[in-house]
Formats: sequence, C-alpha cells, structure tokens
Amino acid sequence: MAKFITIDMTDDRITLDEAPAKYTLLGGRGLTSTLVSEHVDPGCDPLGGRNVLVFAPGLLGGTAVPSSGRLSIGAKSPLTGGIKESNAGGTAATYLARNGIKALIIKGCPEDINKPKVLVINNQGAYLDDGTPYAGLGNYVLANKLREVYGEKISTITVGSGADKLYPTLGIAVSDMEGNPGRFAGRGGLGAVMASKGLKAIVVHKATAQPQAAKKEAFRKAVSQFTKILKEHPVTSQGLASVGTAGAVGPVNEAGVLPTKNFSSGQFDKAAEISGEKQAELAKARGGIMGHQCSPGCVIRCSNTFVNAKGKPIVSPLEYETVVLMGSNLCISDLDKIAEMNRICNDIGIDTIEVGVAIGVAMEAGVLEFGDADKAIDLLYQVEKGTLIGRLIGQGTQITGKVLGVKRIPCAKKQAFAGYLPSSAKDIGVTYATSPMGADHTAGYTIASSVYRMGGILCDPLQPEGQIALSRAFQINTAALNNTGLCDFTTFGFMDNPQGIPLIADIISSFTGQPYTAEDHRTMGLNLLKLEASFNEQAGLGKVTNRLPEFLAQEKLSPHNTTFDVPENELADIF
Amino acid sequence: MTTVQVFCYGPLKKFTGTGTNQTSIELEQPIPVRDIVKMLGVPAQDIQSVLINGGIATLDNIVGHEDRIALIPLLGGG
Repeated sequence: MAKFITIDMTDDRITLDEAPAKYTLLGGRGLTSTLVSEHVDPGCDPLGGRNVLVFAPGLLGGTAVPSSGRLSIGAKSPLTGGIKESNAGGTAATYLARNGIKALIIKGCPEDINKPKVLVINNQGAYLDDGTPYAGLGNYVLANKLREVYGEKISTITVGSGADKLYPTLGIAVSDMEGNPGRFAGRGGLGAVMASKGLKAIVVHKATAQPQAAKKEAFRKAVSQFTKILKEHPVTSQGLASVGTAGAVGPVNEAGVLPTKNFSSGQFDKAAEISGEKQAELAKARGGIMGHQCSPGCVIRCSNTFVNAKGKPIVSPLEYETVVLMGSNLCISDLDKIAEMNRICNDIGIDTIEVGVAIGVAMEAGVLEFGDADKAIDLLYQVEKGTLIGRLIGQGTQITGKVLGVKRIPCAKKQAFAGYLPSSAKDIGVTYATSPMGADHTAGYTIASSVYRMGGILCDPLQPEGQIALSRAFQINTAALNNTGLCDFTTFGFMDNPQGIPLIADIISSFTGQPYTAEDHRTMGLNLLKLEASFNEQAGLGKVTNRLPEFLAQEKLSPHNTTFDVPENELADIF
Repeated sequence: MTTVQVFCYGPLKKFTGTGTNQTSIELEQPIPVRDIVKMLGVPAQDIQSVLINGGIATLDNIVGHEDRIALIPLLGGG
C-alpha cells in the first residue's frame, strides 16, 4: 500500500503510515491541496512552523501512463498568502511513487535554518542527514555534490543559494533524466517554505517497481489507447519537440498577446530573435538539443538544452515563459543573455517569471533601462548576494513595484502575470484573476483556445463575452488533470478528441479499482477549486481579490487598443 | 495591385520559399486567405489558426490592402 511519510523538522521525528483509504482517488494537486486544507491554519505565517509542505506524485505517477511524471508541491504561499500548488517534471515523482510513497508531509521548523538537513528516501523509508556541508550552495553545485555522496541513481529536490534569505520567489528544483536541477516547481515561493523548514534537499533513490493497477487488463488497454492518441497528435508527437515551448512566441506575438516593456504592449519587434524557431536554429548550428525528455516516459519531449556559441550547455530547459518575461517584457532579444539570466535564477533557485516581471517593474521605475541585459544580469547577482536592491527584486513583483512607486504592477493575488497580455487575451486574464493560485497561466491555459483555436468553446479574445465560461472550463479540467500527475501538455493531444477525458477516467478507474467517470473527473476538478478558494477566503483572499490591477482597465494597450473589461462581479463569482 | 505579408510559423516556414518565415505576395485584387494558402502550397489541414492583423480569422476571410496574415500550425506551448 502507498505510504504517507511525515517529517517534523522541529524534532526530526519521522513517521510512516499507510495512506488512509479516503485518499484513494487523490494524488498530485488533489492531495496537496486537501492535506494543506486539513493541516494548515489559513491565517498562519507561511514561513513559520505551522505551515505544512506536501510533496505528492500524481495519482498515476510511476505507472506506465505516458507523461504522468509531474510532482505536485503544496503549502500556504509566502508570495500570495493563499493556498499554493506548483508542479514540476523531472524524475522525483516517478521515483517517489515507485518507492511506494503517496505523499511527503513536512511539518514544523527547526531553531536554526542555517544548519539544514537532507531528507533521504529509499525503499526502506526515510532518514535525515546533516545538510550543513551544503548550506549556501546553488542548485547546480548542490545537485552534483548530492550525486557524489548518494550515487548517480537518485533524484534531487533542492533549494538553491537564495535559501537563507527566504525569498518568496524561491522555487523548488527537481532533477531531470541527466541529474540536472532544471525542472522547477517555480511559482509561489514554495522554496522559501522548504528553506524555512531547514530542508536544503530531498534525495530520492531510484526504484523501478511500478505501482500496480487494480484491474490490470482494463488499465493496460486504456493506457495503450491513450499513448496512441499522444503519439499520433501533431502537437504532442512533434510540435513541442521540434521548437519547444517557445514555439508559442511567434503566434502569441502575432495575436498581440506577447508581454513587452513591462506589459505595456502585446507586440515585440524582435520576437523572432527569441522564438522557438530561433532556438531550434541555434541548437542545430551549435550542437544544442531540442526534443529533450524531462521525465521518464514522456512522449511529448518539450524540453531542450541551450548551449552557448562554443557548444557548452548553459541551461536546460530554456522555456517560453523565461524568453518572454526575461526577453520581450524587458526589451531584451539576445537569447544568450536570456539563457545566462535563466541559469543564474536556477542556481539561486528563484522563479524566472516572478523575477523577470519584477525586473520589468524596476526598469519602468528607472533602476535600469529597458533592454539593458548586462544590468539585468547584475541585478540577479545582487539577488544572490543579498544587497538591498537584490533583496527587493527577490521579494517579487508586487513588493518591488510598491517600493519603487510603479503604477503598472502586473500581478494578481500578489503573484506576477505569466507571459500573456490580458487585455489582448481576455480569456487568460480571467484565469489570472480567478485562479486560487494567483496569476498562473498553467491553471487554465485558455491560450489553446484563444490563439490556437482548439477545444469546444471559441470566442473572440478581444471581447469580454464568453471568457468566464472558457476559463472556468479550462481551470476545472486542469485541476482534475493536476490530480493525476499528467503533464498539462497532454491536454493538447485530447482537447479536440471526444475520447480523451473518458479515457483518462477509464485509466483512473482501472488503476484504483474505484468507480470514476468523465463526469466524476469534472466534479473532482470543480470541488478542488472550491476547496482551494475556501482556504483562500479564510486566509483573507476572498472573492474580492478575483481581479486584475486597474491599469489594465484604464490603459488602452497596443496593438489592439484594448482594456481588460470582463465585469468584476462575474470574476468574483466564477466558482 | 495590392500586397499582403504572410507569416508561416513552426513547420509551415518551408512554404514561404524565402528561407525565412515571411513572404510578401502581390495581388491583383483582394482574395480569400484560402487562395493564398493554395498559392503557397500549404496543406489546409496543417493550419490550425489564422490571424489577420492579429485578429482571429478563418481561411474564408478576404485579404488585401497591406494585410498581415499569420498561418499557425498546431504548435502548443507556453
């Protein structure tokens, strides 16, 4: 039976329990948000001993289901002050699930976070090692040292060199198939929660025993059909592998949705320079990699490895969100500089979205000029060092904007917008405003509909009509998907396929042995969103916070000369 | 005479014939996007989304007068 492992960092006590039957249908975000709701006082200090950090592979983690290797991490967020789930690829979810672990529950806080611990997980259970030799290390050196000590056959889950500063922009790095700590649960400051618990790293030893399905033959059959859909669909079989996630730069720029110059415009005249096509061209010329696989069993392969002009690997992956929020949004078009910024952020462990947008706000305030990549790189080193301006950027976009007196602060629930301009794609604006996670494109990726014209609901992204229903449908589907551990990108494969959701329901039903239909899947998603919204309400982030900053209602932004005008009462009542 | 700019994304780039993802086409008169797609030899089933001057459109929309047309395949991403 799958286990819960609970670690109290106050006294280093570790307990192993069989996971209670009531959680049979829960995994991933479903499990993290349920456990956080059950164990965490919504009013607590996110960096105090009363917050609880939960790691959970998806319900289908470790199985033969393709692209099901997402690791969900949840807690109360030090960035938004609300509930948070952020998920990452890499190898950890697979290894945890194959070690028979359904969730790691990290409680309490030690007296001194500068004497951190390493949590080691294997098929016998878990133990804590002294982590002081690793205190202060960045993610890259840290991951290498952990492999030297614990062997090559491990997955690492780590907090970078920003750990001691408890930046609410700190994410948690998960190692990929090659051991590189490049897959991030980046959003909402979960790395700061991990650091506040005196936990520098989790080492998960590789295990190979797949979790067994309750109804093996039915499971095998459904998985085979599902794999076929992904392998035959042009996006999930080739599109993402050939140009990576940054393949979206061109189309999004065409649609006038590409954040430029601190979200003051939706088109960047040098978009082609940061596009996925450009990355593919450079990869071919320099010996980089496109179509990189980030987790075991992924058939989509959206990841890549960016190398410099001498062929030396700089960062893996270099993704859409980073090339936009550290590129077009800062008027920077040099991919080599952006890759360097990405690597520095990864080493410190900070979210490239949150910090990219914070630098955009600092540029607007005149701290540095738009387009000045070298000063932006210097700012990131200051975040690492902890100078006053570095600590400011490290606090994220909202605080940076407030302190610097900037009016245009692109945040919802104090979390920075991802790489889409809401006044040109009002659908994603609704997701930003209403997701319990704060502004998060992955919570309801309506761009698939508004730019790519996929899925059943189609409306004009420049008009307010229909956007609530569109975002709501995407958010419900995503919440249910995040329960399974399936990558969001699998959605591209079955969005226009009526067999898709019923097939996922069949997979879950045959795996768990519990009745589970497509309608149950939808209900699961909606109930999860309501549970998260309820936590947020008790934490002081009620319906009234389901809105976007007022500059978007006041400024007509180019190229469409539009404002964000979805009615606030409709945003408030979306769920 | 009127000119349109056509941008082809992802794997559709090869149909511009220019080596870049962009080409300009001179037209006698405004015509549907579908006819331009035929002129370039792009298989219509490979086009997921059409944008004209950044706005949502279809293959049936008529273009001319310096319009900017984007042909977008199924790429996903973001």
